[in-house]
Amino acid sequence: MPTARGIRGERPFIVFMLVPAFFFLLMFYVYPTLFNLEVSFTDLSLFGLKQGGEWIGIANYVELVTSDDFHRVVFNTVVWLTVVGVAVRIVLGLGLALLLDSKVLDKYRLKTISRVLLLVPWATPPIVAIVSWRWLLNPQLGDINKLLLGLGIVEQPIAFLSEAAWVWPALITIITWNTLPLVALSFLAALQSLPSELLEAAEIDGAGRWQRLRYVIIPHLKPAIIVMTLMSTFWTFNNFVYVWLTTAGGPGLYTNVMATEVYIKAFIDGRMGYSSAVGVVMATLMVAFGMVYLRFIAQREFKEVF
Amino acid sequence: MPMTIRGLALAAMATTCFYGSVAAADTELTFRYAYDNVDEIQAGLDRFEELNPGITVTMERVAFKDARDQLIREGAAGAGPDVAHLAFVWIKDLGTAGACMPLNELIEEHGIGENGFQDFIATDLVLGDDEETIYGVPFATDTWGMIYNTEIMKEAGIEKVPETWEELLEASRKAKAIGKIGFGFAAGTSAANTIWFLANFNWWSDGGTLVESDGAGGYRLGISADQVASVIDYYKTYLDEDLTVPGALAMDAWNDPTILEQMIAGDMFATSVPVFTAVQIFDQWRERNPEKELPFTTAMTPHGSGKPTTHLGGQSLCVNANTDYPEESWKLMQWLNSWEFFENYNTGYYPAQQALLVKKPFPAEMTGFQKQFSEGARSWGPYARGPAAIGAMWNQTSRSFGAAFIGEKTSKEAADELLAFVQGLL
Repeated sequence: MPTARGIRGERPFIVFMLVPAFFFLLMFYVYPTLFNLEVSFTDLSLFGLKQGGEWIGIANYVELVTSDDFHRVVFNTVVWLTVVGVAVRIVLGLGLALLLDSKVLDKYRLKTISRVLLLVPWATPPIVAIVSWRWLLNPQLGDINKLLLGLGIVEQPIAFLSEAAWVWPALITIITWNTLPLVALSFLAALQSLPSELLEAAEIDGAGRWQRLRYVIIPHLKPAIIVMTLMSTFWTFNNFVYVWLTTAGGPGLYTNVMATEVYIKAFIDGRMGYSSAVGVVMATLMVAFGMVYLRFIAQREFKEVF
Repeated sequence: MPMTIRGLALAAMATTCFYGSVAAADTELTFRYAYDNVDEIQAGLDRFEELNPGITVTMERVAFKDARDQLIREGAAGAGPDVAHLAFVWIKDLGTAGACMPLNELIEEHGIGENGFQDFIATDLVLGDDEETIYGVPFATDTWGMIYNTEIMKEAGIEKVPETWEELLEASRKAKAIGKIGFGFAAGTSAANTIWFLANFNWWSDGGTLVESDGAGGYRLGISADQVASVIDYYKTYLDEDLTVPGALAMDAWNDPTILEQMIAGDMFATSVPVFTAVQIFDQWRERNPEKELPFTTAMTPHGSGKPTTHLGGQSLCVNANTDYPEESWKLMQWLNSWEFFENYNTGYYPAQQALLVKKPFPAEMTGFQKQFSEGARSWGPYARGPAAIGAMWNQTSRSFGAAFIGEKTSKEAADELLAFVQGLL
């Protein structure tokens, strides 16, 4: 075991070895972050990148805080995209993991094939998934509408990506389809580390299926659920590609989220300063979420880590 | 052994120098093209290389809607293609941003086009704020017109091609009554959608305009909130009464495959598209029905109290301000604007030069478009010359219309929101 003196003696070497990592962190994370913060206090325009912007203080922040449109964008990002999107993935991921771990699949020798099939959506690039789903959901030519009409479930085709009642569920379906496998596989891996003796003991003690799930399986999966919730929240909150390629934020502002708002303000309205302010708010919200989550939930579960 | 290594090193140096000098003899240009007639354009570039030994051209591709933003970003970073393919209305912004180089000297020294720069159309759109510096050259021109299915007209008892917006609405109702789609248009509300064009055609033909010159060097709104709201209501009627293509709110492009397919399949009464898309529809229909007579007619866009008006749109070219080869880039610009290039390679588009336009007649089925070109196409003018970026107005128009289309806002609220936004930019 290294002594304190030994570590002190090696400190210059350790610092030296960390310099490249710190350099890249400074260059590609800290500097852009600070630069973005500085730009958010200016009126920098897309068409004036060479000239630079003028310092306007907190005007961009005042504008976005007082803008009804921005309130809607925050609501969409937090409630629809993140809370609903992540909750659906966690619940379905858990259900899928339990199914894949069940004896039924073993009995019919479907375990391997079902796990391979689960990987297909995950291996599909988002752009391919989105284009395919757009076709599937097309009111005139899409197979989903053809099926619904054929089965007599609906009388008129549903415009899933343009009717207000359907657009968010459709969007979340696409995101879930593409990203669910990672969640399910993580839970499956955690499930497989659950000693079978625990379940057998619970069964002998008279615990039914629901009780085994509630008092044995879920507590065992808790660390995995916490990690996946945290990671899914970060990925989802910051996600641009699914919303942009599926609805581009429309109809109206109905599915516009913070990531698409950053793009629209910067590259369509040409307001780089305002767009940077939106980016700063996004980052602040995520940092705040991460801190609260780690402080109140993860810390309780991973005492040995913190 | 050391001798061998030294020998290899010398050989490597000699080889590098030799190939280096050969490579240096060729100027390698990059041309970024954004439309989809890639094979024809590539053939034209191959011909350019034959005519200009020592210059090679690589074609890069970009989605048209991203072409402006991409060049602006590259312009600020000192990168980008030597020659870029853009929209008419983007040149001023790109020139002001320093992404497109001033061309006055090159035009003066080497000339451009069949009859010089003054023979090009819409040249006001490629000038900088000083109205003297030329930042781009109009390349190909375009406008929109209407296509109608004549068989549906007969079957639905539509006696003549609609001339007014109200007639179009009524005719669409008749088409629906026989189980067909009425007027198909993309009503999606993304940032680069079709409703922007249809809204402006409607406003212009009723005497309104979103932006106009105030006559004293400034710009102002040229339309009332009521006028805007009534046009929102007009298009909303198609959505509410199912007179347009299902899922129209999820479609952004006029050439959305669903719209084209419904038109080609003969299930849609009418649509509004640019010239090239009309040609695509007709070609596709002929391919599927080689023995039959084309069941389409074309006409000018409908009108309100004024005359039918669409925009004189088109594509332009600019030389990147960061190019190392302005002279060679200019040779490419000259070739791309030559009659030989339009006659043999860029055959689907119409040159933005008066001298060349007369050499390229419209096919018989395109008379409506020809009429629109000569009698009812206007420049974006004050939209492009004024301080409000067209992209920003376009985006807000889409959002406001979209919010009203889905019932999130009333048409009056949406109209007020749009006008307040544009007023803020002016």
